[in-house]
Amino acid sequence: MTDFDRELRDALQRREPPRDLIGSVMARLQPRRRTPWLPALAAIAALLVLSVGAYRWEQYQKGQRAKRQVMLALRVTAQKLAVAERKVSELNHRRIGYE
Amino acid sequence: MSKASVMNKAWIAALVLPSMLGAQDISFNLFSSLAPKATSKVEVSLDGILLEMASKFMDDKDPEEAKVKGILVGLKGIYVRSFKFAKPGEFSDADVQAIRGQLKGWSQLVSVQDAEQNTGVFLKTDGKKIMGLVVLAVEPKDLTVVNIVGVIQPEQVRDLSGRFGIPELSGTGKKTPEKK
Repeated sequence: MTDFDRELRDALQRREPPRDLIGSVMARLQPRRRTPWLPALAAIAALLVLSVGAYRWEQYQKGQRAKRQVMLALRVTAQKLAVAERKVSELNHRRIGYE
Repeated sequence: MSKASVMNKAWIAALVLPSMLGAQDISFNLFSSLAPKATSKVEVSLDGILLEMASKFMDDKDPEEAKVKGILVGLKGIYVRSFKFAKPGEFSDADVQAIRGQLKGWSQLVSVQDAEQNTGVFLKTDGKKIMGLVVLAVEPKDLTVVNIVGVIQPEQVRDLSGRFGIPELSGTGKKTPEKK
């Protein structure tokens, strides 16, 4: 028997598979489990985005309302001051007329 | 009612009432009783927080809004009550005096009194700066009180009225003689 024959025989000799072969192959074949906290995290993130959006919308509405109120208040003020000014002006003209 | 209970209520009132009055210089309680008789009302109550919020929404490109934004910078509050009534006599002189009574120590910048109206412009100053403005306008069927709280520049008062010719404004303590 030549060295070649011996090597060939060794290579083709029947070998028993490792005992845990089936288990490890099956484990690899099974789909990976989803991380259980991922949907919860996604829900929290969505809730956070919605809350921030709602808060900003509320602030926007409040700001717009405040702006309208400021303009209204200043218009009323201007109107009353203008009436007083007109009266003062009329009285000044009359006084100048007398003098 | 026990003495302790009365004391507790007094403490609660002492704590709560100032917050209800807010930053305004004068009380508008009178208007609560006049409200049911009014045919139209303008009621504005804006504290410092709301003014700051409103200021953020003012458009700098709009000349009017830009000017208003400049006015709002030093303000702590704007309070307006303007009621219109169907007929004269729905409010009394005593009501008006109750408002005027709260303005003791204020400088009366303008006073216009004639048959149609009685208007006063009052300023609160700290000697150098205008710290508050009250406009009290009384007409037979119309009662208006405006209270602007905070630092306001003389030129801004002028801006408010459009072209309010008040040469005495720089000497804020000076009173305009009453015209009758």
